[in-house]
Amino acid sequence: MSELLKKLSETHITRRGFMASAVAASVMAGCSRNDTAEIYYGGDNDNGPVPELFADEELPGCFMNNCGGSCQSILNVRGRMVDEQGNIINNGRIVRITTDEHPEYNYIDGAPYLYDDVQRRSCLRCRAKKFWLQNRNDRITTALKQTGKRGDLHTFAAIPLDLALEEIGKKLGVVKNKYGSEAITIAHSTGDIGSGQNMSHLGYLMNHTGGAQFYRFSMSFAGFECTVPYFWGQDKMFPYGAGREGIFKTEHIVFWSSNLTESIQGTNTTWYISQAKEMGVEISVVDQRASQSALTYAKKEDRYMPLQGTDTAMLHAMMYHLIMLEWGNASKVTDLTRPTDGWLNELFIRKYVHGFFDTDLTDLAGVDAPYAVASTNHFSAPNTPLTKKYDGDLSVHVVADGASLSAYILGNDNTLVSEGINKATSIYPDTIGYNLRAPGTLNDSSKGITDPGDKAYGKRAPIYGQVPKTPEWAEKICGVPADNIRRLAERIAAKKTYMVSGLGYNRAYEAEQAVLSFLTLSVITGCFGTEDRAHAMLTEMTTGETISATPAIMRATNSLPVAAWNTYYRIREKRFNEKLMSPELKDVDDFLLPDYYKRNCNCSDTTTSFPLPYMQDVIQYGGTGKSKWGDHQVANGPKIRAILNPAGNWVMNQGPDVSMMRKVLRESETLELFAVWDFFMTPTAQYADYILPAAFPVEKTKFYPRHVMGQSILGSIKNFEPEGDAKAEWETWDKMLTAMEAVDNKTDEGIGSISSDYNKSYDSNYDKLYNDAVRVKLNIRDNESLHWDYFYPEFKTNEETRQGRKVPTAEEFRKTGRYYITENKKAAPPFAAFRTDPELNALKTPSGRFECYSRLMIENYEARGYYNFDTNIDNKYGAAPAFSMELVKSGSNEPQIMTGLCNYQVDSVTGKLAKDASGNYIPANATEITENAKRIRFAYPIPMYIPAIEGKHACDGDASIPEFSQTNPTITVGAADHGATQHPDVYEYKNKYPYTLVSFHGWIRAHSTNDNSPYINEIFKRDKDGNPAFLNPQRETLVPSEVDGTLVPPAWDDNVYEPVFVHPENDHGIEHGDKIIVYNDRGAIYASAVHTRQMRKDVIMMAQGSWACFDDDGVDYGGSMNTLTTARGSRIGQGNTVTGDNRVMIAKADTIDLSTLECLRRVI
Amino acid sequence: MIQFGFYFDQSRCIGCHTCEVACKDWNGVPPGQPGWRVVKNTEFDTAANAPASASTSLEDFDNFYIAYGCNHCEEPACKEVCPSNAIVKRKTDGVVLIDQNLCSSAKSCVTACPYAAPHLYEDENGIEKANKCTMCYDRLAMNKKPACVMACIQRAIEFDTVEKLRFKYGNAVTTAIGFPSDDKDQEGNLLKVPTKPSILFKTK
Repeated sequence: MSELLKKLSETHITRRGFMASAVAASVMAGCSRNDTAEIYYGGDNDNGPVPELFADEELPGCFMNNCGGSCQSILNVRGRMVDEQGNIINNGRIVRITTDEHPEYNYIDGAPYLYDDVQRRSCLRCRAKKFWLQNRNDRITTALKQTGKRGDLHTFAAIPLDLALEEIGKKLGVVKNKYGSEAITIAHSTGDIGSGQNMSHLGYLMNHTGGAQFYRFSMSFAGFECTVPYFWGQDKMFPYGAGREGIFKTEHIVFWSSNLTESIQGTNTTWYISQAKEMGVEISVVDQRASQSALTYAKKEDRYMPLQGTDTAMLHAMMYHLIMLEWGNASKVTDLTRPTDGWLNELFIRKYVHGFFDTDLTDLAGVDAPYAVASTNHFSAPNTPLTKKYDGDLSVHVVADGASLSAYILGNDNTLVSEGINKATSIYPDTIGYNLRAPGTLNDSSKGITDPGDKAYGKRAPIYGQVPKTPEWAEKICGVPADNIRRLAERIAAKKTYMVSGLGYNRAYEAEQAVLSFLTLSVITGCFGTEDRAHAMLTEMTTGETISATPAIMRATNSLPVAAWNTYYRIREKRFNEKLMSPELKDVDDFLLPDYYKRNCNCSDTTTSFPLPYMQDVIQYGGTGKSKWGDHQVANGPKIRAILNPAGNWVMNQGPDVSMMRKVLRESETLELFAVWDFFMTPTAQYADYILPAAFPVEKTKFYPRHVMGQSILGSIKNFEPEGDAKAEWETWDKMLTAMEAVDNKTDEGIGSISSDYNKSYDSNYDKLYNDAVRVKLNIRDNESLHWDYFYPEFKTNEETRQGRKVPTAEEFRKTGRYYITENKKAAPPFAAFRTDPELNALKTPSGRFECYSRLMIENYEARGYYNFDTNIDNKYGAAPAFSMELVKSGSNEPQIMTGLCNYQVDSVTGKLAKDASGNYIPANATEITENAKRIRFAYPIPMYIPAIEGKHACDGDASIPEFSQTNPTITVGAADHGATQHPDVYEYKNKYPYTLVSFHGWIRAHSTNDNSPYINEIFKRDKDGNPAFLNPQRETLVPSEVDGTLVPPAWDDNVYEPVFVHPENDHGIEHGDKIIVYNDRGAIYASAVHTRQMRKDVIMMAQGSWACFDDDGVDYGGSMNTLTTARGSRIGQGNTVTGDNRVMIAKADTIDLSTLECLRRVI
Repeated sequence: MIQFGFYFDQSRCIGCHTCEVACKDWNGVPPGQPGWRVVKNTEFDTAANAPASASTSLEDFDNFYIAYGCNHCEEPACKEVCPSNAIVKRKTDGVVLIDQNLCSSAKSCVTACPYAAPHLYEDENGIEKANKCTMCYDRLAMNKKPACVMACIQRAIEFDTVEKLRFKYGNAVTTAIGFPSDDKDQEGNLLKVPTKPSILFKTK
C-alpha cells in the first residue's frame, strides 16, 4: 500500500464513545434502523470524519449454499463472549461480513500454471448474510406442530423440541409396522449443506431401523444421470472435465447451455473464465438467449442462439457438416486448416466411440472389454467391475446396418455407405410416439373423475429418421444460420477445444437426446483425455485423480456418511429385492433385467426406487397399480406415507408442479407424517406436520473439503450458540429414532440400536473429521477406517500426495477456517489413461468405449417397466408393422438383438408380450426376434432430434419447416390414422400459451436459499408498482396461532413480487413495472414485469427459487417458477423437465378473471 | 495533492451487484435505503450503435454494466453548493465526506451531484441528513482498499491514486456507456465547472 495509507493508519484515531452506546441502545431496542451504521457521525473539519474501528473479532465462516462454491466469509463480530472452557456465553452480534482479502496471485498476473493463489471471494449471496443469520425476527426457534390442515399458518402450535421428536419417532414406528420401511422416504434436500449431507446422514441412521425408500436421480442432473453412466460407464452424474485450469491450456472454449455468470457457480469461476479470455482463449457460447455469459465472454459472431428446445438439431447438423467435410462434398466456411487427422477420423472414432458408425464383427476384432453397469442413482454406490457375462460373445456389440448415429444423422444420404464406412443408410423411422398415460387410467367414480389421459398419448412427433441433418435443415428448426452452424463445427474440430456443458438443456422432456448428442460431438472431435481438450462442466481439478464430486464429499466429509451409504444400500438391496417387488413387476424384472444387472447392480435402483419428479405421484398413486405419468416404479412400488425433510425446500418449491403438490399435501389421506428441519418458514416448512428448528452453519461445525469448485478446505466452525431451541439436525435424530425403536415391532430389520451406534457430536470429533476432510481433499486413502476402497478406488494408498504440502493442523484450521491448495493442483485429466491405451484402460461400458449407441440405456428403460414397443402402432398394423426398421444385422445367422424385449413373443392381438398358460413370458424364436427388432419404439439407443414437447418447434412449427421424407417408413407424421399433425402441438399450446418460460439460476439465490435475504431482495424483487422491494427481516408481522397464540413467521409477504423478464415488444402490452399474472394449465403466479431484450419476444424469463405462497384463490404471489412447471419426467430417464420446455401465458394482473383459469381448479 | 480514485473494467462486470451489497454491509446502510453504489445496465444495439430500441434484433443486442458511487471529484459540485459547509474534500487523499454534524438537510448536494451519489438518511433523531460513499475511509485507515473493490468477484474495480491508475492503464478512458456526464446536475443544468470524477474506465 501507498505511503499515504501507511501514514493514515498511523494517524491518531479517537474512539467515539457515543457511538458505542448508541449502537448498544439500538440493539437492545431491537431497532431496525441503521443499527450497524457506526460511521454515521461527524469529524473534525480539517480531516473530515475519523474512522471508527469496531469489530472485536473476525471469525472464519463458510455458508456453503448449493451454489457449487466454497468461499470464505469473515464474520466481523462484536460483543461475543466465551468463557475459559471455551463455552460460548454470549453470541454478540455480527456487524459486518467480509470475505477473503489475502494477497492474491492470479494467472493473469503471471502465476505459473497450477500454482495460482486466488482469493476465495464470496459473491453477493454470502456478502448479504448479515440479515440472514442474525438481525432478524422471523427465524424459527421453537418446534412447531401443525394442528389443523397442512399449509395453514394459523394452526401451528409451539411444542417442546423433545416432545416433537418423540411424536415423530412414534409415528415413524407406526408407519413402519403397518407398511414397512419402504413407506418412509427422505426428501430431496440440498440446503445449508452444499448437497446431501443431512440426507445421507439421516439415511444412514435410518438403517438402524431397516432403511427407507429413496428416489433416483436429482433435480439438477437428471438428463446426465440417465445417460452418462451408459455413455461413459462411470457413476458420475455429470462430466467433470479437465478442471477449471484446463481452460488456460486450450485455444477455444464452448459454453453449451452453460451460463456461469448468472448462476455464479463455484468460487471464482467467472473470474477464471475472464482471465482465460483476456489471456487469448476464444470463447463461443450457445444458449437460447443472449445470456450474460454470451454477452460477457463471446464476441458477437461467437454467440449462437438456437430456438427453445432445439439444441439437438444444431448438434446433429454440426456432426453432419464434419462428416460431409471429411467424406462428402461440403466446403468449409472458415479459413481454418483441415486438421492433420482430418475433420473427423474414422479409425480414431472407432477406437474410442461405440455406435457412431455401423459396426460388425470385423470391426470388433480385438475388443475384450469387461462389462460393467453404471448405477443410475445420484446417491448410489459406485460401480463395481462385473463379470464378463458376454466375454467372447462380441455379437452384442454389433450395431446393425444403418442403425448407427452417423447413419441417422445422414438419413437417406448414402455418402458414408459409398465410402464403405457404414453398411446402409438410416433405418430409423420419421416419427416417434409418447409413452405416457392412457385415457381412463385414473378414473375414479367415487370422486367423479374421468381421466382423459395424457394428451400426448397416441400422438407422434417427427424424428427425421430419413432426413439428412444438414445445416440448412437445422437452421429452419433452430434458427441459427446454417453457415454459423458450420463455423462452430469447424472451430471445434480444428482448434483445441474445451467443451463446457451446462445443465439447462438437460432439463427438458427430450433431455437425453441433447445430452448424448453433446457428449458425442465432444468425443468424436477428440475433446477428452488431454489437458487442453475436454468435455465437462467446469468443475475443479485437484491433486491426484479427480473424483466424483458432490455426493462423495458429503459421504466423506463427516465420516459417518461414508459408511452410511454402503450399509444403507445393502439394507435396501436386501429388503427391497426380497419383499418389495410386486409379482408383476418381479416378472418384468426377471426377463428384462439381464442377469448381470440383477446380480451385480443394485437392481433396487431401477425397480424399487422412483423418479424424483414423481414424488407427488408416489404419494397419490404409489402402489395402486396406477401412475399419473405411466411410471411402473410408481404404480407398483410403495406408497409414501412418511417424509423426513432436513434442510430442504424441494417439496413445495424446488420440485415440479408446486400447485399440484400443494393439493396433494393438503388432501392426502394416506400421508401420515411430513417433518421438516429448517431455519425459516419456507413453503415446504409451511406444509409440514412438524417443523424442527435447525442451527445455522456457524452454529454447528462442518468442513467443506470440496464442493464442485474451489481448491480448498473451508470450515464453518461453531462460534455461536444456536438461537432458542435450534439444534444441529443430527443432534436431534437420536431422540427421534430411539422413540421409533420403542414402537417398532421388527427391530431386527435394521443394523442395530441407534443408541449404541451414534456419535452425534461433530464437535467432539473435530480433529478426526478435519483429518478426514484433508484426506478427501488430497485423495489420501486411509486403510484403517471407512470404505475408501469402495468409494475411492483411485485414491493413493499412501500419503505421498501430502508430502511437501503445508497442511494446517486442526488447531490452526480452527482459527483460520481455511486450507487453500496453492501448490501444484495438477490432476490427470479424466479419460487420459483411456486415451493413451483404450484396450488396457477400457471404460466400464459394454463395449469399453464411449457409447453413443447404448443398448444398456434402453435396457435400463425397459427394466424399469417401460414397455418400449409402441403398441399404438402395433395395434394398427399387427404384430409385424409395415415398417422397415431392422435393429438387427441382416444376413446374420443369429439375429443380434437390440434389447431384451425382443427375446419374447409378442401377442399379435394386443401388441403386448404374450404369456403362456402359467403366466410366464414365452421366449421367441429367431424369426420372431427379427420381427420384434423391427417394431417401432418409444426410445432408441442413439440420440435423435425430437422436438421438445412444449418447445418452439413442436408447438409453433409451421409451413416454413421442411417436409420430411414420407417414403420410408410408411408410417409418417401427418398420417390421419395416427391422430398426429405434422408438428404435433400435442397439448394445443400454440395459441393458448404462446410464451416459453425459461428459468435460470439467478445470482441472487442459490436455488431457494437466500430468497428471504433483504439486501438481495431489494436488488431483485419488485412491488406491485415495479419499485425495488424487500422483506423487512425485523418486521412485526408474525401470524398469531389460533391454537395458543404462538407467533408464527409468515412464509412470505404480499406486495413483494418476483420479477419476470419480458420483452418490451411483447404481444400482450406488458409494460415495465406492471403487476402481471403468469399462468398455464398447471398454475398461476403474480409477478412484476421487468423489460429486457435479452431474449426473443416469445420468451419470458424467471430466476428459479422464489418462495411459493398461495392466496385464497390459489394464485402463487410468492412467484415460484415451479408453480408453472410440469412433473412430467423426461422420455427415457424421467428426469425433471422444468427449465425451458414450459409454455405459459402472461397478462396484466387486473385483466384476468380468475374464475376462467382452469389451473386453479385442477383435479388430476 | 494526492487523489485516490477508481478504475472500472466494464468488460469484466457481469452485473452481479456484489459491490453494492458489500458497500451497504460495510457501511451499515440498512436494506430499503438507497445504496452508496449503484449498478446500472444499459441495453444496447451494436448495429445501430445506440441504446436498444424496438428494432434491435437479438443478434445485435448487447448490454453494458457500470457500477459507481461517489467519484470523489476533483471539483465536487456537492461541496460547492453546500450551504452549511458540511462537505469536505480531504487534502491527504482527495476523499470527499459529508460531516453529519454540520449537514443542514438542504439537499443541495443531492441535486448538484451528476452521479446521484448523496442520499438523505434519517439520523438517530429522525432528522434527514445527506450521506454517501466515503471511499471506505475507515478501511483506508486500516490499510485496506474500499469494500467494493475487495468484493468484486470479477476484479473489475481497481483502486489507487489516480496518477498511478493512469500510469498503469494507459488506455483508460474517462467515461463509459451508462456513466453520467460530469457537467450536468440532476436536473440537467450545466454546472459551473465539470466535476472531474476520480474514476477511469476500460470500456466493453
